[in-house]
Amino acid sequence: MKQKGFQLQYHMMLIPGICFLIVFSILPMFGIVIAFQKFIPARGIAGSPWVGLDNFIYMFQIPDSRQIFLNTIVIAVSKIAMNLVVPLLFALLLNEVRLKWFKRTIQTMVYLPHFLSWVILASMFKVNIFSLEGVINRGLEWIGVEPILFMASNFWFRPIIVATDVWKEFGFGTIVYLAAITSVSPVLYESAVIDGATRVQRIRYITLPGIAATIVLLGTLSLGNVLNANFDQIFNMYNSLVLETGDIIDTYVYRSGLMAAKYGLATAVGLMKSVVSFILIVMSYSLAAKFANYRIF
Amino acid sequence: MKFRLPVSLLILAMVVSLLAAGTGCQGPGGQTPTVPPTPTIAEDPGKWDPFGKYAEPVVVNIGRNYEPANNLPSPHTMEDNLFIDHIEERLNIQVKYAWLADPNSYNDKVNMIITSGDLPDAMLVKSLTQFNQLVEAGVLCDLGEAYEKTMSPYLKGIFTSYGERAFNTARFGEELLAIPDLNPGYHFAILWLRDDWLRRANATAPTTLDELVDLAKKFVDMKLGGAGTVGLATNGWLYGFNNAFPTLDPIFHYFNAFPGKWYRNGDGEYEFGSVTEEAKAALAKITEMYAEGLIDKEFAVRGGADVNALLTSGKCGMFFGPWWVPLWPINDTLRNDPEADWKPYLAPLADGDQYRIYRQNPHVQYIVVRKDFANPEAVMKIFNLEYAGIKKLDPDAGAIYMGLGVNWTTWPLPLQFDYDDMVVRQYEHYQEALDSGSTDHLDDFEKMMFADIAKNFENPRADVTVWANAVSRYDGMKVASDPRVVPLDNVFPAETELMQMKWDNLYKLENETYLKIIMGEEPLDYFDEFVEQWKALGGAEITQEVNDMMD
Repeated sequence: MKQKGFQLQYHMMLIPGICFLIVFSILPMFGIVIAFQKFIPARGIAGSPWVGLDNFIYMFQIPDSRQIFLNTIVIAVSKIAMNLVVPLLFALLLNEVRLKWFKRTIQTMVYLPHFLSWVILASMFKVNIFSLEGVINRGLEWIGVEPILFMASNFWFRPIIVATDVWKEFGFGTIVYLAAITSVSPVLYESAVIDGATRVQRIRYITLPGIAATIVLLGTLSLGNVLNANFDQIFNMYNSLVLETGDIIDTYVYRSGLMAAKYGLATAVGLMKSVVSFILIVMSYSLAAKFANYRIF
Repeated sequence: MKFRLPVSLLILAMVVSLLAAGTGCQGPGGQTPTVPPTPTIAEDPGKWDPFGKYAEPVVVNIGRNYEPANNLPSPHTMEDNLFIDHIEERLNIQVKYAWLADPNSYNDKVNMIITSGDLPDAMLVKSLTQFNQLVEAGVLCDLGEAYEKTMSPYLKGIFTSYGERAFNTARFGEELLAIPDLNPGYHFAILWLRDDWLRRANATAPTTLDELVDLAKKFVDMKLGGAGTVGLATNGWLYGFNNAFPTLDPIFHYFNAFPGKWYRNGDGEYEFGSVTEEAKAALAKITEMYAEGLIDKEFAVRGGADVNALLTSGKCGMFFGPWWVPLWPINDTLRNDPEADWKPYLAPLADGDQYRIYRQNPHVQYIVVRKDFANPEAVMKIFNLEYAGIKKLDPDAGAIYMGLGVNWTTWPLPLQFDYDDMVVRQYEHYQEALDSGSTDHLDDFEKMMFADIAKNFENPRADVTVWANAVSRYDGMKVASDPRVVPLDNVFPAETELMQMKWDNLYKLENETYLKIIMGEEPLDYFDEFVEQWKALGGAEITQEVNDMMD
């Protein structure tokens, strides 16, 4: 009896969160029927004419749709890979630092950009870092290289997007890895030292195998993001010249759906993305369950 | 038993509305009204008179924005003030506000109204898309009869000054589905130059395009704005519509190119100005200027705020913008640098004496009326009385809150109506005052501005606000009123279904192509390929549609 009452309180505490989820995530889902309509806002969902799969057919006819899907996948996959590797390397390096206060300070500092909004960061990168007057071009000038218009270059745009995203987020990943590393038993390190293992050998044969499960888990869980290239970031950093390499599904949906009022088409593209993402999430969950023994249900 | 009463009421309402249909606004296929309109048995003699008083009170529920800067003296409010009292006293119209929405999220409020279908009797709409949605939904009243019979001759005169553009976006077939506002013309881009840079460069103001290019070269070579001086600024859209700045419009126009506009060409066909040979010629020149470093290198990657920052930073001494830019943003240049002396010029002139411009779309906002509203003419009457007050045509209405600085938009229907050639008229008033030394012919507002003009003549650039008023109202309007200005007779076709489907992709293709050519990523001849692609992707069909629509 006591046990049951105890649980009820916790379930009660879930109620606000579940209400929130229903109102803002479940109910709006009925809006996906717009994808099969020529949606006229004044007539509402009930009054707008049905057009079957027209919006989807048109989506595949647009000359840019191939490019947009490709851009999304290239950018998102690069981000996933880099966001897996960079924090791991950084965590391994930081773990070797002996000075505790130094380690903590660095850890907090690299974590800070995670809390900044892309609106602010984008104008910072655009104006102070990658512009003709920016830090990088100043540096290039100093070593005698012609200045480069980074933000207008289709060659540089994707690397910049990936690099800035990693810069913003790697501190967060680092913390997860550091937490995993602390759970590796110190006994293993002690015995390795006694056996004469070098630092590199200790990382290679103790730390890495020790946190392998975490790495696999983070990797597989991020599979669900293969079609999420981060709207906030790209919307604030792109311009007409780099649409070729930088236009992603979400920015396209924004432009055609909200700017050009093609609600039906935009919903169709969004729905397509959600379906593919859903399949990927299911896949990543089963992979995570298989390789990392990670289960929610 | 319980629900019989409402049902019988509803039937009564329907009968009454049918009776009232002859006098009210019951277009074909009118909906059953949810609110019974005032039953009008006999024709009210004051009904159609522009300033006539109704025998029975008429209530008008208005939905509009709240005006934070109303400056009403306490305890008067938007809902209860002397304007509203005056309307009731003179016209027997009771103005009520269905809602006063936050101006920052006004379009969201209207979107909600459109979705819910719960329209007030009269509503302010601030977007053409929303207005078209309301038209498509068939919930708006035809105001044609009310306008013809009840709009005052003064306001009709203002509408007439726009010719066939007076109602171009508000008329659908025979029906006039909104009263649009009238934003005066002459807001085209003129050349703004730093006169102090001109003096430092020992140069004279340019008139031809070659002179303008030479001057930009001098500014850049002499580094008048320090390291990284920008010759000519522009935004990433390159050309503009209403009030564009900083834009390259005048350079396109110099070559007889009018990108983004629809107009009749030499063969009598309507064409789209972005895909013409003239546009290619203009692009060739702009590309050349960009390659020589005379146009802002980073224009394509700057956002709006970055461009304004460039204009006010003192790094740029030349751009194209409308007469009012001293009011904002280049007043900040003067704040940063007391030497900054922006002056407007009419350049580059084509063929020696022509400054070509396009016509603007005068409509930005609309007042729409609910389809089953019984007294659409009451809306015209409110407008008549408002403007009698705003323009001081009627001593009683004009005297309300005199001298208190109460914002004119505090009147119930906040639409601006101004003569198409308001800029020219105002400039002529100031010039006459300067020549004759008398200010009797100026209205209150003009008197205030003229005081600043006189002050700035005496003591130039001493005060930023005085300078901004003087240079925009006098120098800016003077240049904009120049008789060498030649407007293109462009048209504003309604958006067709095809356009709705394809236009954003065509525009994207166009903007991308223009930018790539200018920045040297593609050769000039890529333009021909672009034109072919543009036509194939729907441009040709849309051009045909526009031709059919206009004939």
